[in-house]
Amino acid sequence: MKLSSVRHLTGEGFKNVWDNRLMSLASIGVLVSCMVLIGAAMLVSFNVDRAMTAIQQENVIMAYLNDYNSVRYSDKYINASSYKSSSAASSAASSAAATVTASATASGSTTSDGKDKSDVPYDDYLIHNDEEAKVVCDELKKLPNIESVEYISADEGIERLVGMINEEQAKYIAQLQEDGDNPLPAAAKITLTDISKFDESLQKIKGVAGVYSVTSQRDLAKKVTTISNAVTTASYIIIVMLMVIALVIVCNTIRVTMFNRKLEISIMKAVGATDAFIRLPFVVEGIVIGLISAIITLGLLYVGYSAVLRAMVGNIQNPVPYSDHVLLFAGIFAGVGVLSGFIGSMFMINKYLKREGSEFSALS
Amino acid sequence: MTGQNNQNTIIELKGVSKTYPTGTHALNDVNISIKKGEFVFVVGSSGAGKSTFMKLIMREEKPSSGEITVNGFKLNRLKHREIPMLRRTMGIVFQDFRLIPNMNVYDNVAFSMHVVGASKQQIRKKVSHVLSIVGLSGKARSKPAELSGGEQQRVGLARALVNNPALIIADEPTGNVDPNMSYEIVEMLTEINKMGTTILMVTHEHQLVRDFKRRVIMLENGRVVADNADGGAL
Ligand SMILES: Nc1ncnc2c1ncn2[C@@H]1O[C@H](COP(=O)(O)OP(=O)(O)O)[C@@H](O)[C@H]1O
Ligand SMILES: [Mg+2]
Repeated sequence: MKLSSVRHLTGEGFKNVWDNRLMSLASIGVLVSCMVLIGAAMLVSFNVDRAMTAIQQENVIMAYLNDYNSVRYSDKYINASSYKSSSAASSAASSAAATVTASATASGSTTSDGKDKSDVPYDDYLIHNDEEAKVVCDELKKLPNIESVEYISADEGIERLVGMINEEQAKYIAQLQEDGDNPLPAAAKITLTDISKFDESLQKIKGVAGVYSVTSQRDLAKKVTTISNAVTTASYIIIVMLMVIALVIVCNTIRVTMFNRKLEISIMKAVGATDAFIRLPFVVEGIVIGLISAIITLGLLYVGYSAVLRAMVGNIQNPVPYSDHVLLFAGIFAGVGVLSGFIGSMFMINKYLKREGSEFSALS
Repeated sequence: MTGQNNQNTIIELKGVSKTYPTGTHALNDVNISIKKGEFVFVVGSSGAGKSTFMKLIMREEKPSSGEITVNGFKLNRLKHREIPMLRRTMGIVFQDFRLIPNMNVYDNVAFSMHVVGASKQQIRKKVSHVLSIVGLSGKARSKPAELSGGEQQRVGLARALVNNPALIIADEPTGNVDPNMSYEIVEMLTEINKMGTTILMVTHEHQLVRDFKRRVIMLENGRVVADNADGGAL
């Protein structure tokens, strides 16, 4: 086909969209709703993913070391309320630590080396400094099914903790640190190689001398994964159903144009125009509808997402910015739009062109 | 059939039958040979199978049995994508004119050149020429609705002619024009025929067929019941 013909037929396609604007609008509406849902599902899943990484990976076990801080907050000493400085402070700190066990870890032994530790006898805890802690970490590394062991000192623990809590809490924690009163125990962040041997590995880690307690987010991670998988599956089903509806609507729009153009089509066929020639304006029409829908969706989703974030400010920690994925969205929407326009128009026009008999008579 | 025969024959039907999916036997064992340059009338009562005969030649329908050759194309073996090539060798005139209402006369004719990929210069030269052949040079800018039935069909004729077909196929081209205009249309077809184009025309106007004294094929119940060289059967 000649370039001038392609140009002309493409123009015809655009003209069809306009001439048939009521149906075009309906198609665009349905395609946009469909793609907005796709985009929304993706944004939700991006944010869930980000939150999941914040909670912790499934195959990670935190081992808190048997140091001064671990022991002084144990039942034995808390109940005896022998630690004079502040039981209120310590319970606040430990509750903060509990909410973010994720990476909230540290050891008080090093930072509080210079301080008076008379409240807990020296022999009541095993780890007195970084060197001893690292020895425990090396022991942990020797266990089977261990991918990595990361030592997190009390100071590092505080830093990670400050990144995850609100400003007031952070100020309080920072104050504790300045006073040399870091309440966090030293910890080892252990990543497992094979998640299926989780329970076995957990027992072995507990058995290592110098490990005071262990926590993992496995059960929570499992729950969140199950829920997010269910949400994903449901949204896939909805998206597929919407895609089918979108395709039907696009097909119908093209059908209306074909009906409006049946006279031209019958003349073209009689004169010997090729199928490709007859088809092109319809395919262009479908693609234009798809592209317009993609652009509208991209804008609508931006406006909608911004509004949701504004409404939920404070409820979502650190949401995924729209701009991070705008190219991905543009690509997906353009792809979905163009593809449904293309498939819909090809399907309709081919069905008509392939029909044998009475092809010069009315379109039925 | 010898090679020579083959060259002079433009339409050949051998043992052609057509049964529609509804079970109607529209054509039964039809054998017809038409030479290049002939002018042929096809007559017969309503439902005799005339339109079916034309549709088979245009490859709008496929025969149930038998072989059809048109302009060197063996229609039984013609693939879907080869149909446009066959159609470019024929000019089709419709009973209902089939003019695009929002296009003027010139554009209606140009349209059929445009859709087979002719250039602007080719179109300009050729359209003016065929419009002068059908006597409508002065109405190039008129819309179809501003023309009489006879004039509209002359536009249809110009459009059929514009791509230089070897064969013109017209199923009741005078069906929607008044009788005296019918003569004008057939007159024009005669002129076109004189330039070498084969004409195949269905009509039920027997007086017209008698007056023009051309070959007449008469169909009845899907069979050829008469085939006379000079309209003598009527
Ligand atoms: N598409 C079709 N499907 C079923 N039957 C048809 C079709 N076209 C024509 N017929 C039938 O075939 C017979 C011949 O029709 P046709 O060729 O149109 O006759 P004519 O043009 O001579 O009036 C008629 O009985 C008609 O009803
Ligand atoms: Mg008929």
